[in-house]
Amino acid sequence: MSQVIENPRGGCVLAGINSVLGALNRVCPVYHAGPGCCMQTTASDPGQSGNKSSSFVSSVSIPSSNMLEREVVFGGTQKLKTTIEGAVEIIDADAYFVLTGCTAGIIGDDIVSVTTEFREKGIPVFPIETPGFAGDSNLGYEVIWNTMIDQVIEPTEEKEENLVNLFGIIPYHDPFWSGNLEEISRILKKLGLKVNTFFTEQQGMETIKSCARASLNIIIHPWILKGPAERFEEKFHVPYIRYPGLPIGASDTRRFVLKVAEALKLDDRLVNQVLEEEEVYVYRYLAQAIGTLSWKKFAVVADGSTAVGITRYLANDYSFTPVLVIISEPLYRQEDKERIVTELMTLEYAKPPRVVFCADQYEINQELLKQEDISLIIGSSNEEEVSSLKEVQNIVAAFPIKDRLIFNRAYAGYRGSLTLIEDLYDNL
Amino acid sequence: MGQIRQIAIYGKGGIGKSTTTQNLTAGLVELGKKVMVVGCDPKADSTRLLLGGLAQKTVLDTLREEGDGVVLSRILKEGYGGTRCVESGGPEPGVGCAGRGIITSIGLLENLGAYTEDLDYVFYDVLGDVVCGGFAMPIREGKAKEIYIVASGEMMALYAANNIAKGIKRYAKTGGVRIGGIICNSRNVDRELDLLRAFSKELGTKLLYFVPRDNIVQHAEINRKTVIEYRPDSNQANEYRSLAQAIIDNQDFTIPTPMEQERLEEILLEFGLMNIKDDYKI
Repeated sequence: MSQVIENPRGGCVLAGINSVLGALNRVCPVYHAGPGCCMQTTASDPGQSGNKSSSFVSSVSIPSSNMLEREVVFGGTQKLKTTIEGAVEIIDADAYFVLTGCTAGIIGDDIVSVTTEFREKGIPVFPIETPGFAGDSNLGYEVIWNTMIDQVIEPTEEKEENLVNLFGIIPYHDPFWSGNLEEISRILKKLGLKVNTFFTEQQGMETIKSCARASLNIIIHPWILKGPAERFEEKFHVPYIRYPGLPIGASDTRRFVLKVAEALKLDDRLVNQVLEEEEVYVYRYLAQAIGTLSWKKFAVVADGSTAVGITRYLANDYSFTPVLVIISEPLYRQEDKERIVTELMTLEYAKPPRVVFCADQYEINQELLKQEDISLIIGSSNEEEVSSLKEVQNIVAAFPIKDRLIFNRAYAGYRGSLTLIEDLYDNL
Repeated sequence: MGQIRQIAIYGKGGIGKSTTTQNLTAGLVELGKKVMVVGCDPKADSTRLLLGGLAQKTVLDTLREEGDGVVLSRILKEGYGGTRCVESGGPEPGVGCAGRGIITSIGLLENLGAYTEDLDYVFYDVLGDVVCGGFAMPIREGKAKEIYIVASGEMMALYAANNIAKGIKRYAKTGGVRIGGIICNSRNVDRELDLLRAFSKELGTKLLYFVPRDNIVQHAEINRKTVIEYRPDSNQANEYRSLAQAIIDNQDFTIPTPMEQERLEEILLEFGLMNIKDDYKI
């Protein structure tokens, strides 16, 4: 059931859908919603994600039917139709997605019949019938992929052996999504793979349409995309593997690479060569600054994927001691919680941290305050206050991030792990 | 002039709310009362008998076609005996939100000054069940303070009445709305009077009036008239006059005590309704 959450991280599902579309090249959302939804949903997700948002359309530049009382009473499909017509006329996009706000969802406006009219004329307008109240912004990523599976991706039995689809790094919900995708993609390419990241390298609708040609779906996330991944496999016969958290640093990235290599039966020699090259690269830098950072007992407050990645890296590769990990998104499936806990419990040397699942900022702060032996808090902008109250070092490395500018900065993979250490030093 | 008595009539769909409301309105008008009838049903047939046909544009149709510059004279028509008739109307079937439509049109009527001080009674004739907040609008925010539920001895009519009572109870605490009684629009069901009395008592109210069944009501309807206009001398016309008087005289307003499903079925069983199979006739 619903409960009150103080400082929820992100907005409604509409906000999540909008964020993901905003990260897709040349794609235009069209809101069928009340006035203000386009602005609020942009503010709640991209607006708290490293000061970067879509340059194609975002916030007030998103076409919106701005439903008023008249549309509520009489239905708003006619206004939606003219809104789409206007959008198509002035915004040259590769695809338009009609999104429903709560207002349209409650009165049950039939957006499918409106979008079908446009599609029949050859204009790529797709309906997404998921009103804002259906869930939180994490769900938006799943809704997008369900939509793509149902309406956009073209079925094919022809598979490209070395083509993979990369999922789980959620645009804007991970403020480092661009950089993280680029780094993971860089590593996979060194293994001889072609990588569909969908959201980088000017990829977009064409990449999505043809992504059923992939041989493997790789999900880097502890829980998201369970349903869509299964539907993808069922409909397009592309199997998936799940790596349960962001791989950061040499140890976990090796584990990730080996998992991909096993699934695709990659050449051992090539894989080992890549691993060696990358590890030498990382360790050469780390060797040049041994002892620069003093040992810390740390707490992490972040979404599951980021929390798993950072905790495992700092514990396994950097010998910091994890004391407390707070998973800050609401999780509903027990199996998801167990997967996260397993990742946090199976550390190489360190004693496992206390793990708390908690989305409420008041409770998060209380957990941090009562944990006395912390000397470093890695969290979001929301944890800056409690960090200064505790007078401990703090680094803002998870959503929401309001006071950093993040273009392609990455914490994932080999190179990202070095950046994380740099940032830890800078924040001393 | 005293305060306007604002009255909402609820009841199962098809039970005869509109017919009863209009006929009793005719009775009130005969007694010199000033009455406004506000139809709160997208079908917009709440004022047909008073106006002699569906002569009127609904508030929402007018709003849709003419935009925001609606004037009162376009939506408020005078009917039998100077009755003021308004139909809220609704969106086309299957689109938009009829519930919100009711809220919009009642709000518009207020803004346009339809509730003048010379009115004695305003009746809201609301469709079927209170399916959502919109259809509860007439009993919220201090609009109608008196509710009458039209029912009959049929099971579904009593189920609906009990549900409506739940809605009234909800708003009784905050809005001051009260139930004034049950009006039985008879279907000639066995032991109907006893059943309705027992049901009303259990609901914490009373059977305000028992309107017997008479085919003259149907004849009057076909002729687009109330019974009082169609056959002023008939028995049925007198029944409606008496109902009007009962409304005028009524001073028993209570917060209803809706029943649990089990208790409702007990009462129905007690009065034999559940056992009637073969000799069930209308």
